[in-house]
Amino acid sequence: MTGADILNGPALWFANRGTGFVLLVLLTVSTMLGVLSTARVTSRLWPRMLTQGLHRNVSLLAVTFLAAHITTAVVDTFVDIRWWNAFVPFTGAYKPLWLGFGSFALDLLLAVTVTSLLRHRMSHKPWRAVHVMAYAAWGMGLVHGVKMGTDAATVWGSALNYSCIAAVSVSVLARFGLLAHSRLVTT
Amino acid sequence: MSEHLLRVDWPACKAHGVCAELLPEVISLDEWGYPIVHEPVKSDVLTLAKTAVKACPTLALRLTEPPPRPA
Amino acid sequence: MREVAFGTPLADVLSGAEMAQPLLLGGYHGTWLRPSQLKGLAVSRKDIAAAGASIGAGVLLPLAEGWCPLVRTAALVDYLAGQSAGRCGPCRNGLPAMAEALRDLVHRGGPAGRVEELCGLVTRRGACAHPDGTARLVASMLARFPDEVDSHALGICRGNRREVFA
Repeated sequence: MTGADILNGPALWFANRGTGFVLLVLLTVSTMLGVLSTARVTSRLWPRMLTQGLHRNVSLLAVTFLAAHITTAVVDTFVDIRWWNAFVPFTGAYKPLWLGFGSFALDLLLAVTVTSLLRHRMSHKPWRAVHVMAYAAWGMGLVHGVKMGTDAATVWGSALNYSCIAAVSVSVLARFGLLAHSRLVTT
Repeated sequence: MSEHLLRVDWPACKAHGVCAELLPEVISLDEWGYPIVHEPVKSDVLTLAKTAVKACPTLALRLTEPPPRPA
Repeated sequence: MREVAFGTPLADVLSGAEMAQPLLLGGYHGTWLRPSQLKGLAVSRKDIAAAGASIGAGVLLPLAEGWCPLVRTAALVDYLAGQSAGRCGPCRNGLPAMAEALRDLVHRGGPAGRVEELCGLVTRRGACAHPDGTARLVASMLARFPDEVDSHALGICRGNRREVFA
């Protein structure tokens, strides 16, 4: 297979669809771990620094898959997505609205990633204000996948989507339930 | 040799307890989960102390060098 | 409210009856002194420091006759716990726990050790000195009235003004 074959063949398109679902799972896991760390869930077998470390590493892994997801979408010639379409929402020629949700999620996640890498140089409040945007990014990414994903309508695709929605909802509800039992102020 | 001191920003601390996990040599938690700093940070745990400062979820931990004592 | 020169004997500021009572020196965040410590004491930093107290807010609160200093302190700490701004965890959790431990000590013969422990847990662990001052008040109560602490452990209170808690 030559370079041109890869560019014109279906490989990139499949890779794009695959990385999309992997991203959904990684961002869901990362969101759950983030929620878990604010809820101060801990035990001797599961120390808090484990939640914190996993949250960080899963998030960084998601960033690399995000890069792959975008690169494959832009480089692939099957649909016309230019690189700026990935960063500037609602500018694309191909399904601009639903692609825009993905672009918006990307921009938010970039802000979240950069501020978190520089967190120790920031004060806590602005960092946190940016960081909670990750919830919005997760939701927008989900909408992007549900409305645009080629495989979203399949049984396994929708099962995965619904599982991820359930996972994040349950962890957010559990967090508020746990905090209601403690005297701690939320943050 | 000067020893570093760990300071807690009390209004910022929200009792996550990560510091005590990372630096049990110097920090334990009280009955409500807030840190008790027992002693200055010796050089052998300085790296761990810096990790704990960076890992605090609310950035409520500071590492300060005491001013040099007059000779 | 009175303005007195430093060096004025305490006996000139307080009445004879007040001199025979325990004195809370320095306000609600101050230090208890026994009547025996008041004799010969002057309103000066040196004298007051020598007695193990400080002038603090400049407020002298003689205990009213018939009151038990422990009952009075427990009532004060109850009030002070309610005055916590609640911004720092050790104060927000520690002062209500201290008020509870004092109630337990004063009215149910609970352990003084728990009260001492809580003094240690709130001191120098906040953005302001409210918990420190409250701990100072409580620590001075334990230090100056050990006999009263012991008698409360046996369920005996020498004061007759217990209604402050009713």
